[in-house]
Amino acid sequence: MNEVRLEFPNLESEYEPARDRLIDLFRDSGLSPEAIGELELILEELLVNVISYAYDEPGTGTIHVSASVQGKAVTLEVRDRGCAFDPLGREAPDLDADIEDRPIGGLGIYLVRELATSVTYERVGDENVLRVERR
Amino acid sequence: MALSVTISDRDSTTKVAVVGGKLDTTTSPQFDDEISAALTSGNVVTVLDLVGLTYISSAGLRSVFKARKAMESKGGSLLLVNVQPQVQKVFEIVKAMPVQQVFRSVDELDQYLDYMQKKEQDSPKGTEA
Repeated sequence: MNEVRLEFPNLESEYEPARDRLIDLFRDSGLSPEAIGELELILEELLVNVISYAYDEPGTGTIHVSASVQGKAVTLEVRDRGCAFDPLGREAPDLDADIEDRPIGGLGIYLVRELATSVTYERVGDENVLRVERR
Repeated sequence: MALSVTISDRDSTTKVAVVGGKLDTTTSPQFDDEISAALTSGNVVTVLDLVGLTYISSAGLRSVFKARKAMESKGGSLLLVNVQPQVQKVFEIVKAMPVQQVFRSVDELDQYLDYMQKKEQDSPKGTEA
């Protein structure tokens, strides 16, 4: 099993280096370009969202990301110590509504749910823990 | 890979923007900026030729739909052509683009545009009551 653990502050500039580290893991694990493309989309939606919204002020909090690959199965875990927030608790976006009228973030988490095999949220102590599996 | 946008005139009513690279959180402000000239000039149709677009995220989708809204608000339309399979999949998941605005090839798009222009020329304008 290949695994990467990252820890970074909630700054926009942290997204690309974190993404690149994780994509290297997927590539080194022999995943297909199609799978890597979809995993990148999952990563962007999750990480940009948590960087932007987990904490009130940029650079004041820490985000932990771990990723592991076993065969073709990928597990991602994103943790933050922001206010309790369940991104899965919101309603699915109204796909008939004009895209600009849809709530920010709703579209991204919808894409994640459609592309992943499972997405779960848990509040553990003072942490938000979001787990995504893709097989 | 960064984003590239190259805009040209197909004819007096149609602008074509050839888009390549990735349309994501990082590049969507650049896309909004570069496409704005095509959205605010006198053209009736803007075509996004996505032949080189390899990736789109929700931020990119928002940019495409802002562009569509801008064209529609001036009575025009935004058409897509050469959408690559991985990008097509994202459009399909969010069910966000009417199929009649998406063309599989430039030939198919050309036929449609020529037909629409002919229809426009043949129809009597400003008919008096």
